[in-house]
Amino acid sequence: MEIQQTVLDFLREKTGGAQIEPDTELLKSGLVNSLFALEIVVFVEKTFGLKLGRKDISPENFSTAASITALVERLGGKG
Amino acid sequence: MSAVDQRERRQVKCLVWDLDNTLWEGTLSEGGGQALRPGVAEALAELDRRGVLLSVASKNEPGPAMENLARLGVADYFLCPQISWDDKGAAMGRIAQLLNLKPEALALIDDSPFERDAVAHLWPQMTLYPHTAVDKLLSLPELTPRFVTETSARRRAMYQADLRRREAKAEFVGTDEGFLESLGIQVTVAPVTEEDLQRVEELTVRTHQLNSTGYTYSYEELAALAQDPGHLFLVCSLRDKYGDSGKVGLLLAGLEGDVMRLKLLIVSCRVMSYGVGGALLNYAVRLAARLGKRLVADFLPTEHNRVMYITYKFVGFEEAEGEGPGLLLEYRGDGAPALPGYLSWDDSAVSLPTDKK
Repeated sequence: MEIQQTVLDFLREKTGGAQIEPDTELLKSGLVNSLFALEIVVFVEKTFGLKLGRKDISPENFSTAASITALVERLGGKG
Repeated sequence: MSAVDQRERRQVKCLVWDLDNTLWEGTLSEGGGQALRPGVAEALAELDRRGVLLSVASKNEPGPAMENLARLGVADYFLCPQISWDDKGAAMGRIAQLLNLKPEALALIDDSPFERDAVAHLWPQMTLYPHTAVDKLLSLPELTPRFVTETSARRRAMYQADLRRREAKAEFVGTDEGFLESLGIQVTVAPVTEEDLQRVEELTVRTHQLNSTGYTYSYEELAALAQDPGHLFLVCSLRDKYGDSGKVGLLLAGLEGDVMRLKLLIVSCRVMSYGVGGALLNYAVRLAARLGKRLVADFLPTEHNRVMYITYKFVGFEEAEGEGPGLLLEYRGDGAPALPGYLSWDDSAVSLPTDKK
């Protein structure tokens, strides 16, 4: 759960304290624009010590805090 | 592209000056600094006109050194001068960071072999000149952009505005989006004009991070494409409350049958943090929808343009069949995504082929 909490903390801070839950739609809701999406990718790589490949970078993987968490777990990121 | 072309494309975007015995005669703390060294005044004026940024990295007392630069009438040339007793390599790193430039875009001119070695050790990518190079600077290819455009002559002012923006951002209380809203950013998209073409070529040469293909076109090719009714060739300029950033992006698309094909999308690094890249792509999606065409994009992944790849993916592009060394991305999103609310977008000068009928 630590990974998901870290992701949620980051998202909430970046959006100025929005009520973001694990399954809140980030992209479609307009909470996250393409600029912010770049920041999330960089955040995930830095925080969890990962290097995402081209296949990993997709709107599906970044659509919710839960999907970001699943991606980090799948890639074996360090929480 | 041949190795020679690659070399020619390497441009120094910022030349950093040491002060004692390099910019001026003698050592300030020992009573020197009464005059600029021969050739320095001419070099500064001409490099500034060419759009090469200038900065300072000097081990000196900051107060007296800045006063002396002002007294010699050259203080205004220098962006974010680093004057302290700190390590010079660290100072070079700070300049790169403050100006949002890659280390290979920086050069240092310094009379001390020790300092040059120290910088080379930390930043092997940076170019280093001894103080004796002053007379040669203006003839060096890396300091000679092919074209000097209106935008190059204004580059210093634009970077100064950037530095002020960054200070404002550091002091701003609120979200990033809130900060962008406070800037009052206006983007204008218009068909390319002949005067734009030099700037367009300059963008293709200067901009690595945000070039979708890394392909460059010659001035003649660009001029021909600008006239071709089968191509949509748009340039994007930006201003905000801190000033005019000039032409900061371009979009070149071929229109053929039911396909709109993005051949080149370039955004200047200076406006990367405004989300202009994503906005321009969103705009392309809406244009394709208006034209009733499928949208595909040439993309050549390079060492530098990963940010651009991420942008395409988040706008809704997916990898389609690859052709040649590059990728072909296809837009498979839901269509007409909204432009960011903090950008005011004016495309009244753009007319699409279907609009003309």
